[in-house]
Amino acid sequence: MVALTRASVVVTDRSSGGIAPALRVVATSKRQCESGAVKTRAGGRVRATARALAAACALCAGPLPWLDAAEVAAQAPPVYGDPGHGKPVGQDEPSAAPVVTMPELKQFVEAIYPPEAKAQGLEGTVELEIVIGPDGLVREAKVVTPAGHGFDEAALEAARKFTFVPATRDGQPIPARIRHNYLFEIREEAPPPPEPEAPPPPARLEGQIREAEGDDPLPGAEVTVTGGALTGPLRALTDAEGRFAFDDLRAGMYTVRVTAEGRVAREQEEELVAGEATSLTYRLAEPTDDEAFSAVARIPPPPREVTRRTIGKEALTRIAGTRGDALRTVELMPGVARPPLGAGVLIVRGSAPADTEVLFEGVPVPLLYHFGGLTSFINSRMIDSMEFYPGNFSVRYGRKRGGILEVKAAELPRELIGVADLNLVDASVLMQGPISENAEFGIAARRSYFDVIFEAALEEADIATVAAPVYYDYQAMATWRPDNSNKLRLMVLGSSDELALLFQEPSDEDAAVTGDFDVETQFHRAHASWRSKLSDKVDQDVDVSVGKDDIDLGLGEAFDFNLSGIDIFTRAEWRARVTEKVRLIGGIDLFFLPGEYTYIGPPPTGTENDPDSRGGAGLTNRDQITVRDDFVTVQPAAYTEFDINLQPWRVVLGSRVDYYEEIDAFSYDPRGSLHFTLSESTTLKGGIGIFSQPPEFYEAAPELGNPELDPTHTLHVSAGFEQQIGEQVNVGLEGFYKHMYDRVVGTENGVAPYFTNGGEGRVFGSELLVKIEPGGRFFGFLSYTLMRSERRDIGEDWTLFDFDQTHMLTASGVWRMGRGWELGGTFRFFSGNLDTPVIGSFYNVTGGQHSPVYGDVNSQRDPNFHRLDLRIEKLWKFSAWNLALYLDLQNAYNAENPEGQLCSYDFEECENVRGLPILPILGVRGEI
Amino acid sequence: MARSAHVLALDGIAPALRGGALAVDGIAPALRGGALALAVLVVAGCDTDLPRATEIVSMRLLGARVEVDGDETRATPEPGERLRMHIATAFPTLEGNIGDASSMFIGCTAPERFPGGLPICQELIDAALSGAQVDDVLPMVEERKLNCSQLQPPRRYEEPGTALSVQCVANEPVATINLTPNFEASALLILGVVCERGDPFIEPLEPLLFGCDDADGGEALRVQATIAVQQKEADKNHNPGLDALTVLREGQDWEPAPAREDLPEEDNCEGSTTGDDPALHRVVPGAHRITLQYEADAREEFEGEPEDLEITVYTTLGEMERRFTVFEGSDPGENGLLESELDWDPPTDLGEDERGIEYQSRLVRFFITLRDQRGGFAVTERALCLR
Repeated sequence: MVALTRASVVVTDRSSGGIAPALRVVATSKRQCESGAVKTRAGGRVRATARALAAACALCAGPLPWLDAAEVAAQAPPVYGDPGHGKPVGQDEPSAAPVVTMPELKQFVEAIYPPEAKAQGLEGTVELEIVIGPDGLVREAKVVTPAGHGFDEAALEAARKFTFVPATRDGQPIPARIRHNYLFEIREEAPPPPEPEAPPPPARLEGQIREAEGDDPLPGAEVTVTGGALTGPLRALTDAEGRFAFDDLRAGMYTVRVTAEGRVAREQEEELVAGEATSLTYRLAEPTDDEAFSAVARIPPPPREVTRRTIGKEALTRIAGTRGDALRTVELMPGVARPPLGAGVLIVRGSAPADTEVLFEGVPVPLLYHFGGLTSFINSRMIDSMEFYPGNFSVRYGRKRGGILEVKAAELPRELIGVADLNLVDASVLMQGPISENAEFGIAARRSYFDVIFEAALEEADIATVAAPVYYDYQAMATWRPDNSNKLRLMVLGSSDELALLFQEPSDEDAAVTGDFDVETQFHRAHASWRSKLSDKVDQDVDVSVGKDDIDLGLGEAFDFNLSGIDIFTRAEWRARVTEKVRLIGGIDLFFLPGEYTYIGPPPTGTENDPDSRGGAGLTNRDQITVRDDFVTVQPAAYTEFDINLQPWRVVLGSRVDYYEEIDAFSYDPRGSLHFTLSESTTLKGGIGIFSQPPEFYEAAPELGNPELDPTHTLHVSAGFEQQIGEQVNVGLEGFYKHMYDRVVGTENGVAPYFTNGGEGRVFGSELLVKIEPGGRFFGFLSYTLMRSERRDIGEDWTLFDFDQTHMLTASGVWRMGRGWELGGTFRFFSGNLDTPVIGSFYNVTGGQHSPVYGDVNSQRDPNFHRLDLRIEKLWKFSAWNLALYLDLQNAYNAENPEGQLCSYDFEECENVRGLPILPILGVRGEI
Repeated sequence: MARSAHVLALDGIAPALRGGALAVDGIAPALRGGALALAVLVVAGCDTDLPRATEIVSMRLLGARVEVDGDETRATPEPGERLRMHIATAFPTLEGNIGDASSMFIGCTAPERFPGGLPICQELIDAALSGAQVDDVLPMVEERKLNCSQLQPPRRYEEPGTALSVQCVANEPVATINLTPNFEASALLILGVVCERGDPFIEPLEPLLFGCDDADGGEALRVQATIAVQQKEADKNHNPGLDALTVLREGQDWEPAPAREDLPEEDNCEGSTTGDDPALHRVVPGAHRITLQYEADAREEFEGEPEDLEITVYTTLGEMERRFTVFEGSDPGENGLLESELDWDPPTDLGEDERGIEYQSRLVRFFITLRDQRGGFAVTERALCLR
């Protein structure tokens, strides 16, 4: 049981000549004051409410915490006129009446509860009249309404010790008389309320905006902060010294955007830490003209990975030679080799294409490009950015030992956008826009009409086109943010490529190549993602993707492969800030693929260094096996990663455990990286880790391969530095080494068990990347890789990997010329692809065809590859829409670029086959 | 226009054939890459200057006819039987003479699974797996190389109790194999070389295995053959019959060519022929249509359906429209007759002799091979006088 006192105050204006109640406020407890649950018994002046509440609460707890000082300040002091009129005089006659303020209790004194009354459970209210002098001290106090039982004395004794802010008239202190109800109450003692969780100490974001040229402070710039736990954007203008500050922010990731008239806007991701002030200095540049790239320079936070190469939206669609296709810009990156003509695969640091994963919003997709690598599977405007990890990637990514290409979906706009693109290869449409205040949508579709050209080309050939090559893709997305802590995204996407030919007569090269030739690949996905902030310290991502894969390749009766499966991928990831300097990331994922397949054809062989497996021996000269089977691939995994930030050091340590049901094997991959910030513009970095990958499907499938195989592993080691030069130029240099072990290789002569884990490999080299970020009228890249990739099979010497390319150079730039003209160019130089010479042949007298005999594997190269691609675009801006006409000229100077050799029927004579000739692609694009 | 894009064609579909393409997540780009490469090949593979497969410009091997002792029509020997493998040859001129040729063959058990490339004798594989050396298996091979001239008559070696044998033959390339009664494999492998001139040899540690010493510019033609062994009745196969084949030229019957000794002079055939000779037509340059007919019922049944029939027409002069003509087993033909046409485009310039005098006429020979794609083989010749 506890005895409580409470107070009420009746404010009067003695100067008005009476004790007229103006406002009665009862504050029953300190907590009520803090919560604002104070009862008011208004007797008149509404405009006095805020201030009266403040006064009442001051009796028990000081100023109301929920009452904004600005609000109080905004209210004019009460002006007491004729009490009988109940109307503020000052509003109508501001100069006719004096301005009076009431006294405010500065210090409240708790009365001593009379012991006897308390023992008897008595309660009471003593009404007092208190006279307060101009100095705020109590001059006089007397009981107006007694309560007896010792309450009157106790109340008087306490009241005489009150101190006040005196009342004023026209700003001058004056004496005042008030009435005060002193309440004595006894209540059952409630259990102490639980201590509310102490809120995390707030973070502060402060900084200074300066001119890029001259470094002078830039006043009047608008700084907008979004993200984190904010319900809406926060804005501030920089002061005369260009400074700004935001206090009381919760820890988290924020987007800071700075705009100023006549300057190129800038946007940057910043991570705020609880209890810490993050100080920034941004420099804004003046655009050279109104046609400068308007893209905001986006600078991501320091990567956890040793190497993360990001290409932003502005650059993605403007590179020459890509036909404006965003994903083809990955070909510009260091470490990415040039695939053979039409292969459309990603070869990263000498790894086989199957060693690199492509993910869209965190979920793997089975292909990157449509037929021939001309076009990727997704509309470029559905992409925000592309992050490419050529090695030493996070434990978040598994089952691959080469590289990772993660494609980020675009943030859908709040205004309605429509784009239609028509060129000589395909046509596409796109629409994006809002659904409601917190939801957006985006849809896109594309279809090729290459079939028309193809049919014309085949008119003279002994081929009847059953279904000309056609590809299409589609994407639909919707995002919904039910509140500030949750974001849901639903996506449906798919891609299809189909080609069917009917050979009316057998090919001159192989009698087995006759009849139907079908190639069909399709995938469809439904993907739901949920990003949520579980607390100030914990974020959660959940992804569920369900789809269907269909692959069908048929070549008459001699070869048939078709596979159909339900592709399921799920991932749940949690990111927690353990301490101010340590973040913990944990996750689980599952790849599940039940399906069935049919294989009719030659026994599969190793993936590397077997020229016969490239088909040199033909189908007629090879055995044929038939396998039909169901399969279930189940690959669960779990991973954790610590991100320790000890400025200037940053250490990332992670580990990943995978299980591969099809071979009943585990793998454990520890990985780590280290960053050292040498200066504001220089970072040193390095990493080491193990990367495991299950055998390929055919290598471990019963009857086709060896189910007893183990996973393959690769040790990645890399080190380098990044140097920022000015605002736009970034230079990165990196060296890397990869050691592959437990590589799967075919057995000698193809005898059972057909495949073993006895191979090894090594790749080493260095990569240089110079990026000029969009800004002004130019942006560009220069990338160069010098590397060597080798393998060694059981008992063999080291030989080069099939995709080894010593030199890889790409230079690309885009220049806005003005008046809507934009010119881009990309020059590429690559070492020629490897080849294995034919040194003779055997005539298969049974089958009637020759089989080649090869010399040293990969002992010769095609001539070096070099090509210049140009792109020119003219944009017309109208009031409601834009129109662009563009020409993408591939292989502008018509370099021959041999792509392998063509040999006679007996392999006695061979000649080079030229690559893609000059190829102009004209297109038109409309944007609403 | 000739299409002879052998390597590129198969490189193009390589990703499909090679194991890497079968990876569930790696197959799609590879297959599609193959498709595009094939498409490019079809379009760009034309207009090459590479030799054509159907033109006989040097000594050529056309195929091999397997005959079982006692049943010469049968191409599938049973264990314990003796077989002969006759390799059909062709020369661009009548001067070409197989009588100068000599050959070496190794017979052995075919490997159980043959993923591609050059098949290796199972006996060698077994020896290698057990750690044995080549000369343990082929003890006659001295210093890693064996010439036919080193083998004593009858120039034949057989490893007792196995299918392994080495033999050298002169003149017509004919390999003779005695299958052991306990031969259990499904196929016999024969590797060897036919030397137009010179001394055949085997050098097991060299990539090409076989060669010809003292060839004097003659051809060294390496051969391989996989002969199906009849382990059960359903395996039985016979060589295709020539009686069921009818060849027409411009709609007229075209009889088999006369015996070699009855053929007119190659460079002056006109005076020896008449226009209505069904065996030796006299024609003028210009496109000619050749019609191939085969009696549908003459095809042997295999697994409940007539076997496929593959026909190739070779010529010593001019250009054939295509290399292969295939009558599918499922094709019933019309009125019991399978029929296909192909064009022969003779040269407009008949050439000149060593003295620079233009030929007034040229004898042109055609070699027509039939394969049932199960090991059965037959060959027939046609001839005409181009003037």
